[in-house]
Amino acid sequence: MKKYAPLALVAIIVAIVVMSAGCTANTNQTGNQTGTAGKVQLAGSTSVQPHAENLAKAFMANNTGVQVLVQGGGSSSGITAVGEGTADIGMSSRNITASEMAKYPDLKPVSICVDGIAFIVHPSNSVSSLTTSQARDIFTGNITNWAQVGGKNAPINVVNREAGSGTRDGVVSLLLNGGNLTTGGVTQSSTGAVRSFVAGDPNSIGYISSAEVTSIVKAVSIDGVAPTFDNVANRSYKIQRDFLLITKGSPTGLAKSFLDYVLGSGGQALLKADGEVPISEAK
Amino acid sequence: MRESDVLSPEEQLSPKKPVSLNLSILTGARVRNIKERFIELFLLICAISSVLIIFLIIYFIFSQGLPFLAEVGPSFLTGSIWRPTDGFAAGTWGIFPIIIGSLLVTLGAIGIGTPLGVACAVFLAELAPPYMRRILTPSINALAGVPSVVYGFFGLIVIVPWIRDQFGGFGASVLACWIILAIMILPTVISISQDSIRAVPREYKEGSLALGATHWQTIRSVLLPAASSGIVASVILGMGRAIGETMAVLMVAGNTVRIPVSVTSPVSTLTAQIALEMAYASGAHREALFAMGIVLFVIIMILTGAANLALRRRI
Amino acid sequence: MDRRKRNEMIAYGLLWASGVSALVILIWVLAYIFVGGIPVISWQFLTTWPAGWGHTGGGIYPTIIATIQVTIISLLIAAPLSIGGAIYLTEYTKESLLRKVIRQGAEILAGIPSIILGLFGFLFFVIALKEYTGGWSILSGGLTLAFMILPISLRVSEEALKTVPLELREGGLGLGASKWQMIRTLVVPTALPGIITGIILGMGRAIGETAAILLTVGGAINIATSLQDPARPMTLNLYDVLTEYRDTTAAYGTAVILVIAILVITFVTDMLMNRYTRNLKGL
Repeated sequence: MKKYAPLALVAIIVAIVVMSAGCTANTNQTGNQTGTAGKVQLAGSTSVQPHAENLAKAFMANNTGVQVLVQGGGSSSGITAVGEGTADIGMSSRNITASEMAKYPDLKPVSICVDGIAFIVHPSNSVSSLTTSQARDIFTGNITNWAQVGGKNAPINVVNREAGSGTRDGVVSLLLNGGNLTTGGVTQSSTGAVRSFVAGDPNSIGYISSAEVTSIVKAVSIDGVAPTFDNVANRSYKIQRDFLLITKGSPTGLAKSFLDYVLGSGGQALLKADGEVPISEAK
Repeated sequence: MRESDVLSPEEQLSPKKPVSLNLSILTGARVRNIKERFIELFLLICAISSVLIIFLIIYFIFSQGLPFLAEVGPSFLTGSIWRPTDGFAAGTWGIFPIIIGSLLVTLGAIGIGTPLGVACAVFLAELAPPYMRRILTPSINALAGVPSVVYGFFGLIVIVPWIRDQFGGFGASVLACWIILAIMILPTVISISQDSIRAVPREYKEGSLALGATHWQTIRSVLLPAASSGIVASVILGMGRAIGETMAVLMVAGNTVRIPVSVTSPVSTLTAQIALEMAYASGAHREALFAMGIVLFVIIMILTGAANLALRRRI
Repeated sequence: MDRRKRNEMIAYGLLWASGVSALVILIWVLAYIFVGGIPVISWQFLTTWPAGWGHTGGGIYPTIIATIQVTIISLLIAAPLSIGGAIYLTEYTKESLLRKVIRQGAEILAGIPSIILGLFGFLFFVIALKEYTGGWSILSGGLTLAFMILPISLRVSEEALKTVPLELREGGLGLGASKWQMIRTLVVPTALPGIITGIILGMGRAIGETAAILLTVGGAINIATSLQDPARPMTLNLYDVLTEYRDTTAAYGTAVILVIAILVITFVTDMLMNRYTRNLKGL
């Protein structure tokens, strides 16, 4: 037994350190408390997530003692989380559905910016432009070969988001008019995952937030309109949606402070720098 | 004789015990008795807590999933369209392609991993020079504990692009799952099979060789059959790991809810589908995920039970 | 050459080939991780924060802390419960139907895939017990992992205790030791290497587990200062970093550290097991 004593001692000391860290927590602190200390938990859309993280960082820099914690999961998970109280603010890239409103009647959404849904392909893909009906047929599975839309003779690999994704919901309602996405595509669970996949597969096509398009993929124009900042702002790029931050009931306390920051000049400028059209500038 | 018989306070004072007689014995014994009882109580609480936890989890999973299974009926297992919604009535609940995905991926992994693993075990036990065995055996043991995300990492960065280049398609496919899962179960199969082979009594091998059999004949007809129960046990363990694997599959399978038409088709497994959807599922959808968990659990029980039964028959 | 000899040579050749290929494959995977990962490891990598969404590079400092915290929490809960429970079951009760049922239950639980445990943890700790666990937090993650480790540790400890010879116990009692004295000074030390092996195995699983913590620990990039704060352990970080932006640098670094940790743990376990079998033979 003697040999294990030093090890046990170390373990106990470490345990005490961890436990004392835990004991300093106030079990009732939520983002809705007034005061300048506490935590705000955001969860939801992976399209909104990168911006939320930047906003959180800036907000925390100006408000020490506040923790703004951001995680993903998809729009539906964000709405469910804020409805059930697991998160303080839900991030969503689509509107709240009627059934969600029925289940959580006191959800209050706030638009923070306008975002376009870009359809991305591999940079080596010769196709740079699609008509709305072509895009629709590709994603419903009616067109299956790139040759049918002016590209090389190769099968089209459709990359979908998971069913809870707000971006996917946007594609279904805005592009497919409520139709069914093809079941033959692969499913990736976040914006970045779709982008990574398309960047690696020369025959693939996917959909992500227009502000998340980087040089590793190429965004195609729809009906001759490219998903640029200006085209989303002046509404000529039709496939667009608002990003929402949702609270349960009217926002109070720290959640309200954060929302005020996001909607204020500081937050809006940050969003614009990220490539999103701030709600204050949308026409 | 029950051990607790020895402990009653009376017997602690019995003359069997070589103690010096003084009054402090009486008080000492009582204090010690209280301490004993406390400790026993503490340990009992530990035991009850452990048991409670185990059965809480089992109960929770079944109470969430079984009502859903009852409501949806056998079409859950035979239907091919999976369109889950919050409300039960609006959704289509068919997981047949996902079940096929799990089974296909597991069986392929065992199909590749078992021959390779057993051959490697034979190699290490019988053919390799001792220095090789001494270095490699603990190393392979260690590999069994490598986290699945690391294997998934390797699959995503190396295997998936390779399959895409060689065979076309998405790259994320049944084949990718087979390769990665086979690699994942290799350490388990190799180390346990090797132990089993080396545990075969030397007399068997020496007797066989003395009778004139060649080394390979000895391996084939004497060592492997004698070690077969251990080898099969290792395959069962590997199978359990393969079918329960989530992260690596999530990264390389493609997650398409369709019965794969070829090895380069993307596929969805029960584990990956649950992981994909559990963040946002609510209402009936959530219950459906637990139901999928029950189906997965039942499949695991059937597969391991059948394998164990076959094992017992052989002996 | 006669047929038997030829078959013999073919069989030998195949065995050598498959044996060596299996080894080559395993070593290749390890080497790939190490070759890509060791160069990434630097003091800076280990002590800086991840770069955040959409940016590559950065370090893994908070993720290391998160892994350590979550693992310690899970061990602090699982170890006493399982060891104490095993001691009670082997020393204070008879081999009876109750024990068989408990053992069977532990077997069943050990066979449940970790994603199901994660689902359970999400609904139970994050949502139902949000008041006490803070929702997504290292406590929720640690509890879920503890539940995962518990049946394995219980089974291994029970096995270890059962193999202690009856004569040892009877000898101790015969010398006048009380029951607890006998257990504490004779039975447990003899079974200790086996018990510790079980704990270390559990620790290895806790460190490498992703599915169970996917939806319980949160995933926000954060250093948890209280038990109720979310965080992002290394395994989760590896998954996110890889699927989000294919940031292979950070991914390689995280992977290598995970693999080294597991290798060290396994070697230590092997050493302990060797000592255990030697001790037992000595008896």
